[in-house]
Amino acid sequence: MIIEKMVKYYDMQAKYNPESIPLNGYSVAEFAGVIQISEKGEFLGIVSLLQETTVEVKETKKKKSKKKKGMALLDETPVVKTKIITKPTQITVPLKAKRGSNIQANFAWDNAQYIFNVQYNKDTKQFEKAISKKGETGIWFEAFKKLQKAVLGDSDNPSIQAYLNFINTFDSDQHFDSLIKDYENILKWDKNFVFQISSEPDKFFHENDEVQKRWMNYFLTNKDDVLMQCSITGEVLPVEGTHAKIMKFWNAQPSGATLVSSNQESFCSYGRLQNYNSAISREASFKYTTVLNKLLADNNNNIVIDNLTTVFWAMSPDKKYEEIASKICKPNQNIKNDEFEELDDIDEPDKNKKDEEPKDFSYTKQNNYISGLLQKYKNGEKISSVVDVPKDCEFCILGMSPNAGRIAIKYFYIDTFYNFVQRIFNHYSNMSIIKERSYNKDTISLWEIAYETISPSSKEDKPHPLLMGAVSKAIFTGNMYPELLYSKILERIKTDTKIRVNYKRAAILKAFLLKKAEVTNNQKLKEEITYMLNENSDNIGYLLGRVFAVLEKLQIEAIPNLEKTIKHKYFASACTTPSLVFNTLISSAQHHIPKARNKEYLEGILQSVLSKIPNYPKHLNLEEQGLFSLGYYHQKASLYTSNKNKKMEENKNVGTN
Amino acid sequence: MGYGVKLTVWGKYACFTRPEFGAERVSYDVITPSAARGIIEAIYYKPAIRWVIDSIQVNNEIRTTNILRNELGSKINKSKVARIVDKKPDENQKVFSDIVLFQDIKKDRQLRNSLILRDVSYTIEAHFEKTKKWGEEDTVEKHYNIAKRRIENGQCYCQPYFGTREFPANFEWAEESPESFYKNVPKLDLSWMLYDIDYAGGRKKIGKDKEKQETYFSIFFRAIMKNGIIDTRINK
Repeated sequence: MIIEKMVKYYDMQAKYNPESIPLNGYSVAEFAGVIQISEKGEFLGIVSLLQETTVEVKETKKKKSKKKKGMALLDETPVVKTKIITKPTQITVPLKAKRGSNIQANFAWDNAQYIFNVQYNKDTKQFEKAISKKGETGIWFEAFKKLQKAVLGDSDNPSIQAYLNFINTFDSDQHFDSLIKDYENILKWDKNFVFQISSEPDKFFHENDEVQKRWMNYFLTNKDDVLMQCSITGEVLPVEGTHAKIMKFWNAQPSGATLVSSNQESFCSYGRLQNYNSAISREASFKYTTVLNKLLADNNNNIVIDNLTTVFWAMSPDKKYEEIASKICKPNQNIKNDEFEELDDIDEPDKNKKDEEPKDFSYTKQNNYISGLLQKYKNGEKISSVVDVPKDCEFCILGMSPNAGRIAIKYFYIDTFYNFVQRIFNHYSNMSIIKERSYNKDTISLWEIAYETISPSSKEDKPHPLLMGAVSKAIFTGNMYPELLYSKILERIKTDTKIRVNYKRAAILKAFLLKKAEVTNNQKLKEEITYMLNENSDNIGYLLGRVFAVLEKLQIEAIPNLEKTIKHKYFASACTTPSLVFNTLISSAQHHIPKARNKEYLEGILQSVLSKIPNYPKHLNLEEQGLFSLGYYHQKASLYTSNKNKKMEENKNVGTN
Repeated sequence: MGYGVKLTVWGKYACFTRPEFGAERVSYDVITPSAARGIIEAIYYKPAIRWVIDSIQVNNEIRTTNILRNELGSKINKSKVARIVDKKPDENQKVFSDIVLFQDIKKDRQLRNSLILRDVSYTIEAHFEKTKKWGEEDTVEKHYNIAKRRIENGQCYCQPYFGTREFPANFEWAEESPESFYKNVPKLDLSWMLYDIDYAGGRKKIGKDKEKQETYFSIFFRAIMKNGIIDTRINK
C-alpha cells in the first residue's frame, strides 16, 4: 500500500506537473561548478555554480540548547541581521549510479575524485591525490572514461567529439597544482561538477539532444533481466536488484539510506539475494525512490521531530493541500525565510524582574493563520468552510525513522484531507489553555511536546524513541494520547523544583485528560477540565491544587525576597500524599495572612475552596495528581491577571473548552 | 473438490510481513491466503491433500502497533552443520575441534522495527484438492471428517501462528460467520497482496552472472474487501 501510493503520486505529478519531477533515467543532484571545455577538447577552467542568498537572521539561541539561564534576552531588543548563505545548485542529470564501496562512474557528471583525482582530507585540511587502499591512482578516472565511451560510442556531433577528446587527453597530474590553487573554494564543497562545451554556452553537455538520445538507449537496454510478477503493479516486469538511496534523511547514514533492502543474511529467504526478496520492478522502484527523495527535500511535505520523520502528500496535482497541511502542522514556523527557523520561547523571568515585561514582541509573533482558524473551530464553525479545499482528496501520512543504513516505518495512514484537518484542530483545541505570561504562544508544536518530557538542565537527554511516533499516531487517528506522555510530564513536575507547572505542561495534561474522558465516555471528568479556572469543580485533586496556589501566594506576599517557597519544597509531597503535608501548610499560612497585602481576597478564596474539602486524602492517584497540577496552574494564572484581562479572556472563550 | 471447512481464528498480535519490507517488518492489513493455509496445515495435513483458501472474512477493525526487537543478522551456514554431522571422532575422542557452532549476539546484533497488527480475528473458508499422492485408500469423506474432528477438538501438530511463530493463533469451528466490523463498507481496496509461493512452477533461475541462484517465485493477487469478505479464488 505504501509504495503503491507513492507510485501513483509519481504518475499524477508526471502527468500534470512534468517539470516538477525528474523523468525516467534522470535524477537530481547538487553541483558546485561547471567544467568548461573548448571545441578541441582542452580544459579551460571551472565556473562556480554556488548560489548566494541573503537571509534575515534573528539573534536568538538555537532550538535544541537547553542551557537557558538568566534573562539576558529581556534586556536587549532583538536585532535582525542579514546573513549571506551559499548553497550548491540542484540540476536534473542522468541517473545517479549506485555507489557503495564499489567504483561506479556517472555519465556526464561526477565529483572531484572521479574527474580530477583530487581528494580533500578533512584532518589535514589539504588537497591530495586520491589513492585507493591498494595504492593505485587514477582508477576512478579510468572507470569514468570507460563509461563515457560506452554510452557515447562514435559520433560526428562536434560537442561529443570535443568531450571525447577531453576525456582521452586530460591528465589530472599536470593540472593538479593549478586546480588546487585557483579553485580551492569550489573544491572544498566536495560536491559534483557538470560539463559545458564552449561552442554551446547556453546549455550543459548532458542537455544536448544527441547526448540525451544516446543516454536513454544505453539506460533502457540491459542483459540479465529477471522477469517476476511485481508486487506493486502486478505485472510481469524486470526486477531491480538494488534500489536507489534516499538522501537527506535526518540522522541516517550520510551516503543515503534505503527503504527496501535485505542487506543481511537473516533478512533473505527462499534462497533469494538482495532485493529479489522484494520483487519490485525497475519502473516502480525508480518512481518511489524519486518521490521519496523529492518529498524529503521539499519543506512543505515533511516534518522532522527528533528521530521521527513524517512525510505527507495529497493524491492530487494541486499544491495547495500540502501548503495548508505544512502550515497547520508547523504552527510556530517563521515563514518569511527559507530557513524555517522555529521561534524560540523564553523561560520564566527572574524573581527580581517579575514585573517587567519584555520590551519588544516582534519575535514572538504568533502564526495568525492558525490562531484565526483555531478560534473559528472553537466557535463551532465547520472547518470545510474555513479551509478552502474540497473534502474528498485523499491524503497519505507516512512516519519513518532511521536505523543506520535502513529506514523503518512507524505508521502509515490514508484518510481524506478534511478528516486530517479536523483531527489536528481537535488536538490544538484540546491543548489550548489560559496563558500564564503574555509571551506564551497560542499553539504548541510537536517538538515542544517532546522536549517537555526531558529535564531542562540536561544537555544529552533525549525523548523516548517511541514517544513521538505514538503521539503523532494519536493525533492523526483521534485516539488517546500515550500513557507514557502523561507519566513523563508528571515526573517532570515532581522533580523540577524551579519550574513546576508551566504553560506547556499544563496544556499537555489538559489535552491528555480531555481526550481520555472523551474516549472512555467519562462525562464527569470532561466537565471538570476547562480552559480557565473552574470555580464549580468538586474534584479533590483540583481543589487541593487551588489551595496550594493560594498558600504559595500568601507566603510570597508575607515574606518578600524569599529564595525557596513551598513550591520548591512541598509540591511533590502535596501532590502525592496530601494528608501528610497540608495540615502544616495551613497552620504556617496563618502566620502569613496578617502580613499579606491582599489578605481579604486571598483568604476569601481559601475559605471557599476549603469548605468543599471534607478531609485530606492519604494518596492521590495519577489522574487526580494531574488535576492537582491543573488546579494549581489555573489558580495561579487567575491570581496574577488583573480583572480587566480576566474579562477579556472570558469573552474570548464563551462556551468552549 | 472436497467439502469446505470454515473456522474462526483469533489472536492478540499478527505479522504478515510484506515481501518488500523484510528487514524492518511492515505487515499486510489482513491475513494472506498463504498464512491462512499455514494455519490449517498446522491443524491437519497429509501429502494426499492440498488446501485452497476460498474466502477470508475480517471480523475486527484493522489496528497496528509498533515494536522494536533485538535480532541476529546472520544465519548458521548449512555446510557447517553438515561438517559437524559427518565428522568422525578422532583417536583421542576430540570431536568438533575446529568447528564451533554458535551465534554471538554481541557481534551480530540488529535492532529491527516491526509494524504489526493487533487484536485480529478472521473467519476462513477453505477446501482441499487431490494431489499426485492421492491413493486408493483416500476418500474425500475420510479427510473431511478427520479435519472437522481435529478443528472441533482443538488438535494440531504444532501451534498455528499468524505469519511468524511468535504470534500464536487460536481456532474454533464456525457454523455461522460472526459479524464483521466492515459489514457496512461496500468496497475497500487492499491493493496487491501475496497469494502464495508458486511451488508447482518449480525452481527458476535468478541472479546475475556469477551467482546463478534458483528460487520459487511468488504470486500476487488484487485483494478487494466487499462488506468484510475477501474472495481469494483466483484462476491461474
